[in-house]
Amino acid sequence: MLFGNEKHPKGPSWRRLYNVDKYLSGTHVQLKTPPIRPPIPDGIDPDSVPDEFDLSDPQIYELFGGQDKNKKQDLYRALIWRNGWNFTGRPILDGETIGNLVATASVLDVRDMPVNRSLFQRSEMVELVRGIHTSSDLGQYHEGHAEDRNPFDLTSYRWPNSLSPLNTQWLERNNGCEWIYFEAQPLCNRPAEFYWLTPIGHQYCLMVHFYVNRWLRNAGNPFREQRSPIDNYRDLMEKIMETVVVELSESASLEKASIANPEGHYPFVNCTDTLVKEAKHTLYMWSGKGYTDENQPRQGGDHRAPKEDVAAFIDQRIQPHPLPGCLAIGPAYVEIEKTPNCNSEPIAIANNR
Amino acid sequence: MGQLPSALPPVQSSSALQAWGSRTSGRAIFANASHQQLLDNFRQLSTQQSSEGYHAQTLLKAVDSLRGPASPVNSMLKPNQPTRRLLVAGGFEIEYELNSYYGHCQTDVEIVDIRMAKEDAREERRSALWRIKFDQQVGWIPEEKEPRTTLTASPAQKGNKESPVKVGVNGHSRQLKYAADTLSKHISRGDKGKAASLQNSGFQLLYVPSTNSAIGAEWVSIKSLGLNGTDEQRVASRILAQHMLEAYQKGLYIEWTAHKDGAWVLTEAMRQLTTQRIDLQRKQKIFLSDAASSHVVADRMRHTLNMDTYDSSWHNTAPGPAQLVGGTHLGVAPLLCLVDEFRHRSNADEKFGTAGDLLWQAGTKGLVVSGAATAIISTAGVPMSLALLGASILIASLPSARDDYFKNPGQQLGSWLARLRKHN
Repeated sequence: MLFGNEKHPKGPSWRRLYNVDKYLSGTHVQLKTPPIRPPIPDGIDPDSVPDEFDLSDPQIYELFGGQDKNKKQDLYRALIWRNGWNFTGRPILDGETIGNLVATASVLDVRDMPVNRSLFQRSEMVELVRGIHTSSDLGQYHEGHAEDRNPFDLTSYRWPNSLSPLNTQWLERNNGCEWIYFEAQPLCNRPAEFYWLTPIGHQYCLMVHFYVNRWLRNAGNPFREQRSPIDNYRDLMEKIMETVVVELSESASLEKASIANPEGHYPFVNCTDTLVKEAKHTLYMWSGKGYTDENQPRQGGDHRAPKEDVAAFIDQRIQPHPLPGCLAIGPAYVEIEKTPNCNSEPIAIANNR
Repeated sequence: MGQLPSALPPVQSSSALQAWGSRTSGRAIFANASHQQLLDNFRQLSTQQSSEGYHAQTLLKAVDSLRGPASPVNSMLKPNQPTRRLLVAGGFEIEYELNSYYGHCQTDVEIVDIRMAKEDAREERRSALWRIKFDQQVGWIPEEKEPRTTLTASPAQKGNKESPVKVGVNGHSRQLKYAADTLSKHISRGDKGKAASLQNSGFQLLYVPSTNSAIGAEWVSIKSLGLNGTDEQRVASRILAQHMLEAYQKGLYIEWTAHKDGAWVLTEAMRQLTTQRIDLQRKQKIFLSDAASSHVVADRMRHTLNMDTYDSSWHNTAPGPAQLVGGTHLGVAPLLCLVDEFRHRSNADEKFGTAGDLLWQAGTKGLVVSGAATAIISTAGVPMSLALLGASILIASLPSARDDYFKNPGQQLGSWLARLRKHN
């Protein structure tokens, strides 16, 4: 394919790859990616990050999710690698870009780990996924607005930022390494996100995070952006993740060997039916953002998409689809009513959000 | 838009005009009953400590500004209607007429319509001021889901001399998010250190939506030699003028950065302010990046308004067709700016220095680097300068990273070649 188009964005070629080798206190992380394809956001320079890290050095970490006094948290992250690839459409007509995929790899340091717990326990990884939601904007709510245009309505609405986690699954990849994977569907103006996590120590976790921005004309919200399918971006991500090899250091291997996970037991964290319902409304309400419907007056018209279309999209989006190497996959969502126990996972998330 | 909330019953026959508010000085404002009701409701709302309260205050202030002797900076003639005027702001639009009932020069203001435009601004179909933040995980995104009605300092940018408020004005852009990303590069001037500190402080963006495609937007400024904008840009310039005036009244230090057609919006806003004889006391400064409108006009305006002009560089251009025709007048803009400097702003002692500078510029920059037109006139350097000019236009027109910040055409060509190499 010489040129791409909106329906089929053209990314980097998979012919020439370069190796990324990172040494994290003896643990060797290795992957192959195509070289950077500019332009991509905020000056990513893959060579500016060092190749060796001492995980016990506090200097390399920053608070995960940024400084925010309102959030109490003990989750830190160190960036170890970052790269991005531009996706193009028709030359000149679509300009220099119609989207991009940005990938980062970081080490998460969980400093408030309970005694005798370890990230090598699957249940702790599930806790970490929750922690990622509560400490970053991913699991937060934003201010919504009313249906009509009454300027005197002072009701304050709270709408979720993202529908997450979706398609949660446990995967086994190269070298017997276990990953937990989940996706986030943005509801307003965040990019689509994909998370891959694997433990590399009692309190350290390797997180590979991908996000997809789609820069389309007349599509300023996640629903309208669906016009340009995400498949090509996702393919590139999966190809990259297939090349990832994590070789644990000796001490980390010993740590891993000291922890026994119950055979065949895979805990999950999923979005709830309430969140799905809220997401349908939020996505519908924002579906006029940055979008002009030709049949409506530009000023003062209602440019939102039909409610049913948005609901159908969400219903289709939350369906689980296993990736290669899938060990176990969660349901599309969990219903709160069926799990009245207060300690159950979904309610814990709902409360924390 | 323009419909009133149905919950509000009209007090009297809604066509009768009545004076609204107390008339202590200035013109009287006449409005029909439903608009009066609306304004009274806003007056109540304006006492609330909330974003809606601020919105209401902005609206009331705007209505009161109509009482003044001169037209407010954010007013404009309604297109195709000679007497009807529009007062535009990020969240609303007031249509009014100036009447002279008694044949005197003292006129009254008749409010024809008040239209709420908050929804349109929120949905990015109308220009408005947004706060942009850097999210560690996903890059530059709007901080809030609603635009701001007023220009205020943020905790990280206090608006004093040491940390001025940074505001960007975008040119053609397909989305708010895209504009935020592009402007972040231009506000940090392609400098890594500045980019890092901008990520901590965030910035504000006057988002100007565009109805055209990228090529169409470029053509508007070429066709008009960079002297005219689109309807959206005209509205945006009034909103920007209001924010500029607001910053002046609050004494904030502001750094405005305009990208491409955004330069026209910025220049036009400055022109609105010049009619009010405002002295900005060097508290605000501008930077034009790849400007598609005239540097010369912008330069005159910033001197008239007494903006901060101490920075040696206040524009940066990777010359594409629009930038060349509209922005630099085919290369003579630096010379024209110097001529202005020489004629109007140099005292006798400085004249020699400026004249020397002028000659030097004409000799070096004018002829060799950027001054194609002067070069053609003086014929001596035609082949060389034309070749350079042609090359730089060609480089800038390559389907490459035009939205990035480039320090010179060489850098631009370099990055394009690097991309080409990586593609294949």
